[in-house]
Amino acid sequence: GCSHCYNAFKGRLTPLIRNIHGHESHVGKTPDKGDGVMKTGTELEKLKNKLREAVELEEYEKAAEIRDKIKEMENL
Amino acid sequence: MIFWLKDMGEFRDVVVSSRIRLARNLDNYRFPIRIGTDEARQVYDDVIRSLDKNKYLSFKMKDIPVIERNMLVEKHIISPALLHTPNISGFAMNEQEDETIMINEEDHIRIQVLDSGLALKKAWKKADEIDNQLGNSLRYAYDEKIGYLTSCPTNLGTGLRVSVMLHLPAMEMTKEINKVLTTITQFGLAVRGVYGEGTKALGSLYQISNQSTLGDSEETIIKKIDHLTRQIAEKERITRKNIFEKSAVSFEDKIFRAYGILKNTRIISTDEAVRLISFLKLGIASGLITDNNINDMDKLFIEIQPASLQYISRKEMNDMERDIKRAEIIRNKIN
Repeated sequence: GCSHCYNAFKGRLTPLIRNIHGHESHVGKTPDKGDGVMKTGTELEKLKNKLREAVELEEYEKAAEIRDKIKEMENL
Repeated sequence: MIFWLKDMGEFRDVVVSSRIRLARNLDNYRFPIRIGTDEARQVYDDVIRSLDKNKYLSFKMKDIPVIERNMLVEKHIISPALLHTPNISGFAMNEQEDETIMINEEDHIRIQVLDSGLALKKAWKKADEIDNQLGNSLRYAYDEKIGYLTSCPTNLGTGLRVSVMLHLPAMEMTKEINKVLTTITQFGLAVRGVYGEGTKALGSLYQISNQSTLGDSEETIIKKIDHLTRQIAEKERITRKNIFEKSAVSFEDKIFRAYGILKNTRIISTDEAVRLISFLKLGIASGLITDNNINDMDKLFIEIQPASLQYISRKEMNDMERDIKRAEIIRNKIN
């Protein structure tokens, strides 16, 4: 009955969340407004999502930029 | 008065309003469905304290008379669900009534921004600012992976619901609306009636909103709905023109009949009134009716709903009394 239940029942909730939204990770606004330290793994995932979004919206220039960033990160 | 409805906004002939809603919860309290009364009061106090007192007026639901509560729902200032738990819910709103912060609805916080016409980006900017302001002093329930945590998993992620209210009488007449609605659903968007989930499409009004809140950024969700709305609005405009060109006389007849009834009625139900006002709006948009404007008709649509009517009259009324009062208001409002 509280926000911590999402963590406690993670295993059971993940498939449900994927069913509802077709995705399982959040892209967009964060409460720390970008000043917090992000783990590279999450950052990469977010970029990949952004790339998908850009392609969906047919913004190919933006997509190319993101693709380059992803390559850069993966080579690190 | 309905302050947030204005003459402005893109595609105002088709798009009645734009709405942005953000769901947020506080990390250290149980969700409203499981919350205790004291805890709920703390949530209310925490949220109100985080808002600019000079800008927002705050209200506890239990202090508001029932007719007034329903009137606020009819004006879209608060959601119907906020009335489900009147002993713990409340809200804050600004003077123009276009920004509402609902407290202890399904989630601890529901930020809502309304505007007339197609104005999603503008509304998002305002909602985003309110969210930042609240986020500065409150600790939101948030998860790195699944985003903002909400009481119902259907709102996880961005917690963002973007919706537009469209007036689509021409596509309804040609039945093209069914094709459009199917397409909308295929795009992963939802179609609802005027007063949200499970309500019917009164007066050819359709509410379109995003279904999924997780996996796309706020910007993308808004862009998707904005794009689609523009396409639908253009199609509605073309359909209106086609009907008018193909069968001008019967089109005019429908509109002027509606005008005649509305101007002379002595007893009228909500259903009939809403249907006829829809025709009148079509007449205004097509340039056939020139003494009235769309904005006044959209306001009238709200003012003749049951609770708003009783609020204006300052008393409880039975069906017949309401139908008589409704007719009187309409006659006075229509030029």
